Amino acid sequence: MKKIFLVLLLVTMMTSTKAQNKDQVVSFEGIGALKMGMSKAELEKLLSIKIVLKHIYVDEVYVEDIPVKYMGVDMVISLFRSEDKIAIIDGISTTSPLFKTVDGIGIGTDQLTIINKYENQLLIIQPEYENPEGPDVKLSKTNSTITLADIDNYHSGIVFSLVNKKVVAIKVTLTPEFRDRE
Amino acid sequence: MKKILFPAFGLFACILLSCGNKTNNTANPQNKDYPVSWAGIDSLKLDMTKAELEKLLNTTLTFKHIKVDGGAADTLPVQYKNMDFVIYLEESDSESVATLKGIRTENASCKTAVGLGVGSDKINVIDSYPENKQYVALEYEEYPVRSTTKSVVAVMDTASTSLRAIQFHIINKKVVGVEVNSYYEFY
Repeated sequence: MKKIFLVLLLVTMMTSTKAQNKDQVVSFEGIGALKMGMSKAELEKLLSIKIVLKHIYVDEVYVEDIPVKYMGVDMVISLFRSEDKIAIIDGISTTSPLFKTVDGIGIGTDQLTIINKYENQLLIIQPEYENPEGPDVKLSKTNSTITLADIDNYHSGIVFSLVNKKVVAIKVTLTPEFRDRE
Repeated sequence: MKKILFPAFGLFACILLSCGNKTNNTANPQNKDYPVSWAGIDSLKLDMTKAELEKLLNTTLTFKHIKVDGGAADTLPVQYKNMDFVIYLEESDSESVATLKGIRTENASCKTAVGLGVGSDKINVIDSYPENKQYVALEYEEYPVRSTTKSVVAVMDTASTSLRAIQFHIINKKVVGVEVNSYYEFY
């Protein structure tokens, strides 16, 4: 009886771990169950929330970021105005170490590991600007981004934000370089 | 006996090292570096006209496509200062016929201002340009088979508004070729 219980417990633990991992995977499609292109209604259903838009179909601005909680973690969802769905997910950002790519890249990963891991992919490395909106805009000496671009469909990308060559944030979004190719 | 052998060995080693240094000193003038920049490689400059190139290379450039079969570009192997280069030209106006849009070499004497060239490590290339946008791109063995050993690091000239790039061709994480182009976009 004890053995059966232990086997059942093990199976349950393995199943739940696998399910949990799937919900934490960062991919070109999104983060966990949060998928790129998902409609406002689908997002509200998934997160059991009501989203009140401040810009889309309110003023002339077509995009807006909304803070949400997913799996108990704070995230930011970027919405883009849609003709038939009101708004769709255009970007998903996280700073939580809970979420990683299937290759294990996540918060804390260093630049060299990313470069070595995606040898047969396209990476776009860029410095960040300090005070980009202000008059004294200058290149940051510590902040940069690495975009892992999806070259199979020239659509989305995973943007790793780095400080001192360590990942501090991850965003799944459209790759800016590919926008004009759609 | 041991006491005699040690000084003798030391003297022999000194003579060997001294010979080695002499050889290196005489070889140094031949190991001149040729600067690689977004402008070009040494005196080979992007946007040079066909006539300017012919004068510099002391040769006549014969096209297979430009003004021949309607093709807008030609790739030619050339010799410059006893080094092999491949140059890419694009058709331009009727006066200049064609202009230089790309230069590639596998010669280790061609180096950037910070000393990067054939033999440099891929990661050193990436680390050397923290202020520039870089494409670290895959290469195909034969499309769509992606190479697991070859890649390219294209360093964009973000200091200006040009789209010029210095491309470092990589095999097994080492630079095997350097290329300067007037335009880079990943396909």
